[in-house]
Amino acid sequence: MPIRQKALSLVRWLRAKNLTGMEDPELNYRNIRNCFIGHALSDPQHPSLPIISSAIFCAVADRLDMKTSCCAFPSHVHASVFAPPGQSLDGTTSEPGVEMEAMYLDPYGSDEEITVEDLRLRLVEFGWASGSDVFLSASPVPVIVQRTAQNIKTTYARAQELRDGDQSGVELKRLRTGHPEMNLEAAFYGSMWAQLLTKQISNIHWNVNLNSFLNRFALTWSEDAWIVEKYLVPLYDTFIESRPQPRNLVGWENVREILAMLRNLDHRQPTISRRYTQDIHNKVHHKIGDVFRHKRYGYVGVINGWAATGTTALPTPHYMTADETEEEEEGDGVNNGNDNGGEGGNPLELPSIRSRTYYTCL
Amino acid sequence: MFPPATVEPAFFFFFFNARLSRRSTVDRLRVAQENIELVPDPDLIPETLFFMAGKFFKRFDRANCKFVSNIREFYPDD
Repeated sequence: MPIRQKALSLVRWLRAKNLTGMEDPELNYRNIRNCFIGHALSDPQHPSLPIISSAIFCAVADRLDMKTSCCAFPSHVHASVFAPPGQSLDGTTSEPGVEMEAMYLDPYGSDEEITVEDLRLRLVEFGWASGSDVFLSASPVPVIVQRTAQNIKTTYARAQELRDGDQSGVELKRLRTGHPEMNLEAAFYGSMWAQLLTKQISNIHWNVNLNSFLNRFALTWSEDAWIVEKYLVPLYDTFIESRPQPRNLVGWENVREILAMLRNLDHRQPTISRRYTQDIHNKVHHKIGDVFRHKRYGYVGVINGWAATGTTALPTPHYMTADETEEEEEGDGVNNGNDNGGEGGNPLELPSIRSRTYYTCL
Repeated sequence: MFPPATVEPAFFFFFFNARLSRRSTVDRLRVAQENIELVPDPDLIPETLFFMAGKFFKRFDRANCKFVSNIREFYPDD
């Protein structure tokens, strides 16, 4: 069978089996699960973005001895299929030295071949009048990886815009297992890794995400220090050396500095909080593991830290909500006077931040 | 603004004790004692908490509606 026929048969089979594309893209397009090829393959509905659909097509086609590649066309990745050396796509013999013939498919959305004229026309619509051939040639794998990472980031950004409890976020964030928010955080963090590992180190913008990556790594994923050390540090060093005026980046741009900082933190003695005195017993009413509801904001949490007086002895890093911050800054009592533990004295006197008892919670 | 590695960790923490606009997957949120009202009913605990609890707790004690501490080296008397 000539390659053209073979490729068309394959794309039609994949689509007939519902292995590519997705239902209701106007609702579902940005769902995080569409970004993951493993999810697309094993989910009964096999939903995937054009980039993942194309990758699935290419992976199967390669196993059927076709030479294929994903093609990072703007806004919609396609798959290209190449004629074997010395042949055309239709199986005829081609003159030696003639450029390898290519055809284009859209495994996500079409059973038919997409002509190069169609693609060129679309590029003109996008505003690319010249120099457009780069979008029609085979894209290197790192480009496809970076583009998938970009898709993950787009979904992440959309999820951030949602209000808490917005129902449209349920499908957006849902994966087969795990907690949706945590999955999304992990996917976003993974996308940052992908971009750092696959972007050309000679690109002067290689470090564009480094600051936010290091921030997130240090804050939430510090157990990854060894992977950063092993894979990111060599890239970082090469990047620094290759700059026209080598100079060290500082702070959140400096991988080695952040690693050193985490090591310092790791070597600190753990702070032990004991309930030695009656005063502490009087002041700290609740214990590690207690489940509570926030009286004003209604959320349910679990206590995982306390400090008898003030906030300085609380475990760190910790956070406060913007509401809580305002409350403290306004000196808003919230306190009804019954709860101020060992304060004694006038029950209506509002305790200051320094004398109040604080907890951290999950 | 950044904490160079050479400074005391306290500065680093100052930097990190960030202010959040909403409650998300943060695992240490500050709360004042006056705002705490104990919850005795395990069915009121959102699923999220069970996903996040493993970092600090061994298991959930349903009968007492408490999580069992796995951070006793920091809080030996709790």
